[in-house]
Amino acid sequence: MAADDFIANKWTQLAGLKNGPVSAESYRSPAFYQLERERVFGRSWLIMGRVEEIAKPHSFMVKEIEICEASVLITRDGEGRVQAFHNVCSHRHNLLVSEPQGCSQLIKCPYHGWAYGTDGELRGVPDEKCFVGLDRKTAGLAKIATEVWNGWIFINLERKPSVSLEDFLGDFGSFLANMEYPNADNPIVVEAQLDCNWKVVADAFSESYHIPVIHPETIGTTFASTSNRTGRLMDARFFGPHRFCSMYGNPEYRPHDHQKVEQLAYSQVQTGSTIAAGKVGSMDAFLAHPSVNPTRTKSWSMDVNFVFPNFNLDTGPGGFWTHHFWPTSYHTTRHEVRFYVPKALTVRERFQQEHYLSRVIEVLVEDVSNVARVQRGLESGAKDAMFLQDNEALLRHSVHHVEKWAKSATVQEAMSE
Amino acid sequence: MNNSLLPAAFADLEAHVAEWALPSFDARMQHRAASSMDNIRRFYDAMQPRAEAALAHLENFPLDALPAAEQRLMHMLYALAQAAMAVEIHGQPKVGHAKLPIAVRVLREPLPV
Ligand code: FES
Ligand SMILES: [Fe+2]
Repeated sequence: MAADDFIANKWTQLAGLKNGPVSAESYRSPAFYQLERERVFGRSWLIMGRVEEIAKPHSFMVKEIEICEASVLITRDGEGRVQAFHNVCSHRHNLLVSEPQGCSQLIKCPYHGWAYGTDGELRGVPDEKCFVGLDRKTAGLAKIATEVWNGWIFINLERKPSVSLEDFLGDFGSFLANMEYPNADNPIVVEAQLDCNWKVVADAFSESYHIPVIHPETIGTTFASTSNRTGRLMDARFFGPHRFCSMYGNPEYRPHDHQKVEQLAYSQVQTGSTIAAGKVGSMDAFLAHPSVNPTRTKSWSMDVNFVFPNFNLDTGPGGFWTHHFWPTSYHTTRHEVRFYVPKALTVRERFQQEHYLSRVIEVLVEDVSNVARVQRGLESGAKDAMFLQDNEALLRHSVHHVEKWAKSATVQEAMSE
Repeated sequence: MNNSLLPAAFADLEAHVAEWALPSFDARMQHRAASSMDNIRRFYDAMQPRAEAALAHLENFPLDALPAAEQRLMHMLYALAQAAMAVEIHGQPKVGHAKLPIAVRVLREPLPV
């Protein structure tokens, strides 16, 4: 394909949006952040993780949603049911669990020792006789609306969610349904605390226009080539507030002669691409899914599936990986990344994974080392608007829907066409 | 009792153990990012020609139960992957516009560590 074959100027239109400058306010306004707290994060279904993280009965994990000041305890009870609760003791509201995960039939509050089952029921109260009129049945942990969908654990912080998960996902649910998730039980977990609005870093992982410029040596030559120098998209699709794009990959990429360690790392391990840790063969069912590389091109690097508001599910020849963009203030973000890799069985596989991780961390460092500069530029107030090109349509779509949710008094209004 | 830091065949690399055979991904990554290019290259030039032999040697042991000397050699290989980021990719110790310490932290590494 030649470069101009990729010129479509249609993604923006497909997203139902108009070209033209996009306001920068949602990236820098503390007042807008308050609306995001109540109306975006407070009312959306949020992906908290996967069921494999709490595989065993009575296992649990704690996840923080800083923007909503919520600490969320997600448990699997003795019957195997997955349920989220506020991680808050009913007695005097101490945060109940302090470790990130655990496994035990009773969860004891470290303040006065109230004990709860993994089903959230209150099971033990020291010196219970002195609590006049205490009814254990009404003093269990506060439940949070929870749904498990294709192994993903979703929660909704509204006491009574205005929209069902099924309606929230809409056609995006059909698009992603029944995907296989290879190595879902073995994530590499990465975290960065960043000095930028959460949408600044989410944007950095929603377009490939930046790749040849900010990642010239790490992945520039894997995501671009003479036939697509500026990372134009192969495909983009929009589903209500959710979005998808497919990125170009250079099928000719090989390590250079001087890259001896890279050659050694990949020499006896068959992965789906040069920058992957998945094993060829074990990826077949995953790669056969119609929404993984949907254009079925050889020139494919990865797809981005962005689940509104803050979760990015990426697929590539070597498997899947995820990003969570958790706002911690209007200009800070906790960015969490998980790369799902096979369990290394041999020394060579393990060495390849170390090289793979070293490289993807360098790529992340290239991305996230730039975001504070973007935020400073935004906050300088020098400019009112950003110019977005057609291949940045996912960013335009993101701003549009975040603003729409922030403006809408009801979820029905936010989700209306 | 053998008190060698590395398996006998790799004794020539012992001078690099204290600096590079670090037991976590973050430690190796931060160390490489904060090192001078000369320093990284000295380690790379010593370790890279021995990497194939090191992998071949380590293949004789169970991956999840390496003896102490072999475990150090494995960590030296992991450090070589880090050195390769500087030597084979960036041509400088770290991403040019990144600040030290590097903001990205690995909370759960590939296993076994
Ligand atoms: S606050 Fe938990 S037992 Fe008192
Ligand atoms: Fe990037």
